[in-house]
Amino acid sequence: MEELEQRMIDAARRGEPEGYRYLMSRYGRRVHLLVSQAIPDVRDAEEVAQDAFVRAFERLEMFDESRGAFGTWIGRIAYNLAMNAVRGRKLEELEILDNLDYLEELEELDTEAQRLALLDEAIDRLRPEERTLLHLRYYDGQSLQQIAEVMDVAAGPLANRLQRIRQKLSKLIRL
Amino acid sequence: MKQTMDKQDDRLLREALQRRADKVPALSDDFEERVLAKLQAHAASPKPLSISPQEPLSISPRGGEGLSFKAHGAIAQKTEGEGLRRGGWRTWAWVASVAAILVIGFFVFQRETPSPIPPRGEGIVPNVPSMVAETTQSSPSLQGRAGGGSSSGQASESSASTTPAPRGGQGRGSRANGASSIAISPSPRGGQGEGVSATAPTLADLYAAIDQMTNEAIEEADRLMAEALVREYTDDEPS
Repeated sequence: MEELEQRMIDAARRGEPEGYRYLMSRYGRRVHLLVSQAIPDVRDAEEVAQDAFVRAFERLEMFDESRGAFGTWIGRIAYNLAMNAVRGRKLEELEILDNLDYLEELEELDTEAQRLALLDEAIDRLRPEERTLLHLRYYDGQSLQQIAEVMDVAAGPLANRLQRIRQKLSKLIRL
Repeated sequence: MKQTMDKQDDRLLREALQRRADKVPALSDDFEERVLAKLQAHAASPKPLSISPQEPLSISPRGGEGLSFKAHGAIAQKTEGEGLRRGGWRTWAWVASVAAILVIGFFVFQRETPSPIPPRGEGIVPNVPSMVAETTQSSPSLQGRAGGGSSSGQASESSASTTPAPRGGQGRGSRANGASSIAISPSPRGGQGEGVSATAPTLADLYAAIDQMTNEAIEEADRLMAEALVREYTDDEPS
């Protein structure tokens, strides 16, 4: 962990706003994007992101630097809050497809832009936790172990799940 | 070839996710201020999100706080402030449900499980001595299982071991002076019988039956668990 970040975490532990602001400026966008994978509404997602920081700052004493990075820790808090919000507010009312076989019926896609658009639509139809998994892996570039810590699942099943999603999407891309 | 296509797919996937991330607007300008305000509000009025062990649940209203009941309709209404926390009634409902299930299950189990001790007059020859588990106040160990059931106060031939002794031995009253006893046999105490039929159940039989039932339950649970795991991993396998 960087020395500056460690100092700011210590400052936040002492209740100094400087520490809070540093951590929010550094991880705010990342947390917001993570939450947005599960909660499509921008305002709701930002609200949950705020709650994640509040929760993290209130429990900063429980954060153990030796066990992982602050980013992973707050990511886990944000993910849990987001999934709770999804379950509680019934945000997951979108049509969720367990398989994307219907896409095989579409006409062949010529351009990359078309493929990207279709891919975007397919990602929208994934489950919130699957979108989060893809986001953390392919956007954030996190390792499976880090993702497993954020999502609180074992790395093995996570790898299987990622592979399954990826194969479905690959099938779509190659239409 | 496959690796090349995988890399292409990965690139497209990254590109798609990048575009999705770009669509998410930036955080509002007052994001940090709002977080700090929430933090201060929480610090000013600590409102635990969950039930804390320091503050036990209480159903009874405490001075107008906590759970209150409307006069009509018996609708529980949570009021502001301390008292029963959010979701508390769910906790109680859950605990009550589990307790009810356990009680019902206990009775059902009792009714459906054949007693290893045959009812009176069945399986016991006329001169079977009572199967009496004796406990003394001075010693918790069982005494005098081989006793004939007569409470004559004489010492038993059986040892004080908790191991179920084979019955059928000669012996008379096993109660020590002042000893309390628990009769687990349907046959009347104080009978004159000496010797035991081979079909008479003993504590050893009881233990064996319990062991057998336990083993069967464990085996069944193992089997179900294995099936569930196989299903789960089968589901997780790439299609």
